[in-house]
Amino acid sequence: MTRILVLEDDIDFGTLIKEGLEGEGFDVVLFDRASKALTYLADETVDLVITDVFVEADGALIPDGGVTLIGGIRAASRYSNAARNRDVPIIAMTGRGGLLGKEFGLANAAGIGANAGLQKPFAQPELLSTIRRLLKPSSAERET
Amino acid sequence: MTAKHYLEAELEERLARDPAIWAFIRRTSLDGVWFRDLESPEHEWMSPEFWQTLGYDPVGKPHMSQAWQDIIHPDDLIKATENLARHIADPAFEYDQVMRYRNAAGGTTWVRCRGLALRDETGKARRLLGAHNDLTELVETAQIREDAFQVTNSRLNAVLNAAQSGIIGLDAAGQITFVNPSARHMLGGVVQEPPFPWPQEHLFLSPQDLQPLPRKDSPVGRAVAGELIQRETFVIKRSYGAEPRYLRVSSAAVEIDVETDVETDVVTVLIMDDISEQERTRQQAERSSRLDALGQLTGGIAHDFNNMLATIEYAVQLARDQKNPVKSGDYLDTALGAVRRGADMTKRLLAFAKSQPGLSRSWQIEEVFEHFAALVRPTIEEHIALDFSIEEAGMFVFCDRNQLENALLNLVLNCRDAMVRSGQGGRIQIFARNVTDQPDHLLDRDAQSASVPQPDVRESSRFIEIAVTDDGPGMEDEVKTRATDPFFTTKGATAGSGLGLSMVYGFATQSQGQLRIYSEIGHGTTVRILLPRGTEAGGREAPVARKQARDGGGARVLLVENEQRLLEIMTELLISLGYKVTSAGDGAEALAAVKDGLEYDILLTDVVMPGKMGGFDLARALRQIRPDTPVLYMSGYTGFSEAEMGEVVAPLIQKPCPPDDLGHALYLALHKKPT
Repeated sequence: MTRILVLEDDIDFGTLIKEGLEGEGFDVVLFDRASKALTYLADETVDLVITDVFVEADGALIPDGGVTLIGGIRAASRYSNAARNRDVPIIAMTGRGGLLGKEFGLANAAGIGANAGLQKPFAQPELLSTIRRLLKPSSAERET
Repeated sequence: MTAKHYLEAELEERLARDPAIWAFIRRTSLDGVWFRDLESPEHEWMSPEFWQTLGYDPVGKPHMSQAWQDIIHPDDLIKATENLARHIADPAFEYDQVMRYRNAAGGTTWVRCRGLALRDETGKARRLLGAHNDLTELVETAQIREDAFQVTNSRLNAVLNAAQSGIIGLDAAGQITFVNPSARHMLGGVVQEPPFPWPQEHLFLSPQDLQPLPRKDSPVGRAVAGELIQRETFVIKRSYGAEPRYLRVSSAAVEIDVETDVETDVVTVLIMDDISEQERTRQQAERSSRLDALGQLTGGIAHDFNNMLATIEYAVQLARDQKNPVKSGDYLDTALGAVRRGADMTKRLLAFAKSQPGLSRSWQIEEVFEHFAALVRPTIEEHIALDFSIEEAGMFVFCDRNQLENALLNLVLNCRDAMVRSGQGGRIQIFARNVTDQPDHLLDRDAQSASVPQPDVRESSRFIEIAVTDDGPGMEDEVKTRATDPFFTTKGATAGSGLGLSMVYGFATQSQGQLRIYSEIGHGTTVRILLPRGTEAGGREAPVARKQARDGGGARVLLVENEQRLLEIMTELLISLGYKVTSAGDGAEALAAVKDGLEYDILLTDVVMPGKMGGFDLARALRQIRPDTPVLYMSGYTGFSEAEMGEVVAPLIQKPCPPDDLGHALYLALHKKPT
């Protein structure tokens, strides 16, 4: 079963994502802090990560948010267990785009090491199509 | 029937046979005697004293009525003639009047003239016997008093009439017993003569709903109840649906002078100034800054709303696609929760945007902080910590709460902006404490010049100080100086109007408080608002008796402060508190002196000083030499943590420090048991 890790500090919203994706047949683990998620990832492998970003306009970051998580995943030592997750596809999402009057999109997401960006609010169909787009090549790779 | 005293009988008997007795009485107890023949009234005998009293030589004066009729005031002659006719007709009517004579010197002599008609057996008046008493001295003294009173009175009236302030005297029932022209104007041109009741069409109104204030809350009721109103702003109704006026009102109780025992119908005086124009301008500025602050909040608000909308959209979508009705109901409940959170937030923001200026009254600090925290917390970035703390429970501040909230919001947003822009810092502390004095005169020497009245040394007003401290980048001196200028901003053209701090400053001064800004580059900024203390009863706290500062008892203080002026003032202050002081302008100088053998009992040092050695470093270096000597840090910025203090953790006092508090802090530090 495809396993997805979700980092979201709004427990209501995180639970909605988790239950919604579980209804679509995914195995979902939910965390509200990057540190907890990274501890989990040290021993476990996941197929996709969805994370809240908490980005500031001037780049000041929450020390335990999505940026920390993505950094931790991408920078994992080649020789550690966590290295298994180094190239996992990551979807970054935020409600903070409104501060700049711009939508949070791929360009911002790529800037912090994610493969896709979603501007809140969004609904499950939008999230599902993004998940499927990102999972396709890697699943294809794995199948070959 | 009582018998005559034998002496009285003897005197009467002697009077009849010994002329010396009559002459004695005439000379010593009367200022003139006359005896007139009513059968031929031009004949009248006048005693020598009659003429001497008026300053004339009696020798050669004819015993004719004409003689006195020539020198009496014509009005008084008419009065005397009338009275005489009545007395003759009716013995019960007494002949008794005060008359004016032209004396020899050309002036007026006042005489009380009494007469008795002597009648024959048929009752017909034959003779008239009269006596004079000289009243001139009495009359003139009274005249002088009257004149002096008139001068004082007219001078007083001229001052009261010219005063721009409306001045009203009230009696114990709250009736107007005195009113000057300005006050008449404020009361809609009332023309009645006092006493009259306060006109119903010009009552004081509540600024919130413009309904008449209940009597106990109106300045009239409060002043009559004996309360002293200190420059509070009130709204008063005007006729014909015009905009209400804003009046600044003070009251003063009238002290009754027990010695002169003068009864007065004025128990208290209201002094009222029309400040409508300033007030409206100020309100405009306040409104602008309020909307400005809201504008600055929108970034945070957008984020919060996006998060709530995310929950709603996602939940509704899931509910729609969900086959299980129980499950879809759960999703909709989640969505509903988010909708309610959003509604709460808009409600708070709207209430803030629309809140009207109100009357100053007492507010408990806990309550103010709680309400403010609910407004501001969701709008400040999550990575910024916002801490509220108070020195002691149950402190009351006397001000308009809406304006205080706006001021605090502006200060917090300034901290937030500075931290976000610089990427430095992440903590905002809001701390309320009691301050016993306005320690301004400690810092400002010029304010001590003769023209400025010194505060009463036996009494002091207590204040509540609310300090908003961040650990952001701090302000350059130039920015600090201009921080309260209207329209001054460092945030760029699009960020704000620059009215925030100037509005906070206006609020503080208008509330009879103060605003102080302390900033240390690289450490952060503290902005302090001082506001009058309130009371649980709702009014402003009256000045309290000053407590005696603790005496230093000759303990030796090593004082280190780089600002020369402050160093001098602190030195003087410490000496006046009974300390011996050695001062140094920086850390290196202090360290060198101690290495040279300087003895001291306590180190009092500024924290941030130019040069390599700050206060914390100095304390550490000195601890090597004198391990047990206590330390007291002082700084205008008080956001330093124990970690920043390093090896020597010691109490930190806020600069400037009122003498009482400084004395107390030194005493505590010196008498603390070694740990």
